[in-house]
Amino acid sequence: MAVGVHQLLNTLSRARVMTAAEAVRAFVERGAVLGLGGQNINRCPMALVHEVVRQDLGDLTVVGCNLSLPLDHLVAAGLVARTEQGSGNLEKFGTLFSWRRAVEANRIEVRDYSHLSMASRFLAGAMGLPFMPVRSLLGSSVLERLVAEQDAVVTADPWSGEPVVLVRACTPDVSLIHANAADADGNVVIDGVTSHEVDMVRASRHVIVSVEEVLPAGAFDDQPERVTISGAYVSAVVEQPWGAWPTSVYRKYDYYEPEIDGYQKRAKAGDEGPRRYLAEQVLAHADFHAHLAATDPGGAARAAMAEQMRSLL
Amino acid sequence: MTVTEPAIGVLPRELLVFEGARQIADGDCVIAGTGLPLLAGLVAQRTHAPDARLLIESGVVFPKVVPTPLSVVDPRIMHAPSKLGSLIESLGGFVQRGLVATGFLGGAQIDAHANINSTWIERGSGRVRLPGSGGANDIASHCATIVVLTSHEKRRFPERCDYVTSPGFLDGPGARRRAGLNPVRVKVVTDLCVMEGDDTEGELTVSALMPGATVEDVLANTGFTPRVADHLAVVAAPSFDHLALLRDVLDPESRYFPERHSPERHSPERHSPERLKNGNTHD
Repeated sequence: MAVGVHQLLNTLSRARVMTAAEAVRAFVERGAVLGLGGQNINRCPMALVHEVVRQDLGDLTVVGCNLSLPLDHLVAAGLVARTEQGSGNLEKFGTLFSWRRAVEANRIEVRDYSHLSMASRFLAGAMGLPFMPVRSLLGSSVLERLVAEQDAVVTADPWSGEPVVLVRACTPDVSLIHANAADADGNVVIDGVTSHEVDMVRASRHVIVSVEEVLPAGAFDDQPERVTISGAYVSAVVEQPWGAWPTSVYRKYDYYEPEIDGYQKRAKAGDEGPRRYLAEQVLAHADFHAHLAATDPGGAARAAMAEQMRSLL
Repeated sequence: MTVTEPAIGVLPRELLVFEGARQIADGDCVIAGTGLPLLAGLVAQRTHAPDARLLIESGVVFPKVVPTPLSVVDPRIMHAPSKLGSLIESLGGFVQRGLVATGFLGGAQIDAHANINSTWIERGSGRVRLPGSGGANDIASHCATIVVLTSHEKRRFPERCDYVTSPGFLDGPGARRRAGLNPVRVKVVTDLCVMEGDDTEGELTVSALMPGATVEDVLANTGFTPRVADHLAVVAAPSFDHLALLRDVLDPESRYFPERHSPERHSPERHSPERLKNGNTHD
C-alpha cells in the first residue's frame, strides 16, 4: 500500500539515541518490509543486521538497490521471505550465494528491477507519490515479469505519446543504514556516495541509523549544509563505531578483504558455512562490540584499514 | 626496441582492455563498472582520450581513479571527483537523461541480437540465478553505444538469451523503436574477435579478429551463426608503453589479471576460454 504524505507526517517524531538491540526491538517487526542501505562493500549496516539476526525477526521482505552482505546474512538466518532489488552481489567477491540458493530453490520470492527503476520507487515514496515514470526496462524480460505481476505498467507519455514505464512507490516499514555521524537529534552525515539511501530513508515509516560517532544535539548548527539526511526522518540513532565492518566507511576505514572473502568462500560451499558463521560470529555474542573483539582481537585489522583509508584520501 | 613498437606477450584479456579503450572518443562521457571496463576507460584517458570523463553508477561523477578499485563504491574510485552523488544522479541524471555516450557492460549471455542476460540461466530442468540488472538495463536502455568485453565461449553466445536483462536490438531491426527505446550501436569485444551492429541491421556481425584467431574459431565458439564482414580487420596489439601503463600503473598488483602469474603467460599457444574467467558485472 502506498504511503501518503499525511501518514509520513504522522510518524514524525524526535529521533532517540539508543542501543542497536533497543532500536531493533522498537522498530523492526516480523514480516516487515525492510530497506537496507549500503552498496556492495561500502557502508553496509552490519551491526544493525546482526541485531535483526539475534532477535530472529523473520518473514521479512528485503528491499534495496544493490543488496549485499547484510542480505546474505538474513537469508542464511532463514529470515527472508521475499526480496525486491536491482542486484544481489559483491562484485569481485562473487554473487550472494545464500540468496542465490534460496531463490533457485523457491524458498524466497524475488522481484527484479534495474537500479534506476528501484531508486525511482524510493524517490516516489519519498515524495508521497504513488508511482514514478522511468524510461528504462522497456522491451526487457525484467519489465515483462513486473507487468505480469502488476508491479509495473507501460503507458503513453500524455504529451509526447511515447511509452513510459510506471513503477510503484516503495515505502519500507523500516530502513537500516550506517553513516559516518549523526547528532543526537538524528541529523545524519554521510561522506562519499549515498547510493539509494537518502530517498529510501525519506520513503520509510521508521529509520534506524547506526553511526561511527554520535555528536551532541546542535553539533551542525553552524554548518547545517553538512547534514545529508534531516533528523525529521530518523527514528533511532545507534552509536556503533566500526558498525559497517568488514565493509568500508568512506573517510573512516577501508573494507577488509580477508573477512569478506572468507565469508564468501564459506557461503559458496553451501548453507552450512554461513549458518555456522552466524552461530559463531553473531549469535554467540551479546552485541557488535563483542563480535568485533572476537573477530579482530586487539583491533590490528581495524587499525590497518583505518590507516589504508587515510592513505587513499 | 622502442616503447612504441607493438608489444609481444600481450595477454588475451589485456587485449580486450586495449580494444575496449579504442571505443572511447576524446570528450566522451563513459559509464563503466569495475574490472576490465574501468581499466579500458583509464587507458583511454591516459592515451588518446585525455578529456574522456568517467561516470560510476554508485554516484561518482568524473573521478580520478587510483589503483585498483574492486567495487563501484571503493574509496579508490571515489578519488578527486567532480561530485560524490547517488544512483539517481548517475543513472537518472546522467544516463537516462542522455548525457552518457558510451556504456560498458558484462553479462553471462549475449545473443545474436546483442541482448544481454545477467539474471537467470536455464540449465537442464533448473535455473541458475545471477546477480540481476544492477545498472545494466538502464545503461543499455539509454546509452548510444554499448561495449561488451567478454570471453568467447559458446554458452555465452546463444541464439536467444534465456532472459533479456538489458536490451540490445531486441527482436531485430526497428524493435527498439517499437518498444520506445532510442537506437543503439553495440560492440562486443572477445578474445577471438570483435562483433558489432546497430538497430538498422538488428544483429551482430564479425568485423575484426583478434591476432591469431580465425573465422572458424569464432564460428565454432558461437551458439549462433553471425554475419561475417567481407573485409576483416585484425585487432592491433598495444605498444610497449601502453602495456606498461596497464601493468605497472593501472593494475600494478594484477587484481584483474591473476593469469599474469601463471606459467602459461609466455606460451605462444592460443589461449583457451578456461583462462578467461574472472569476469565482472556492471554493479
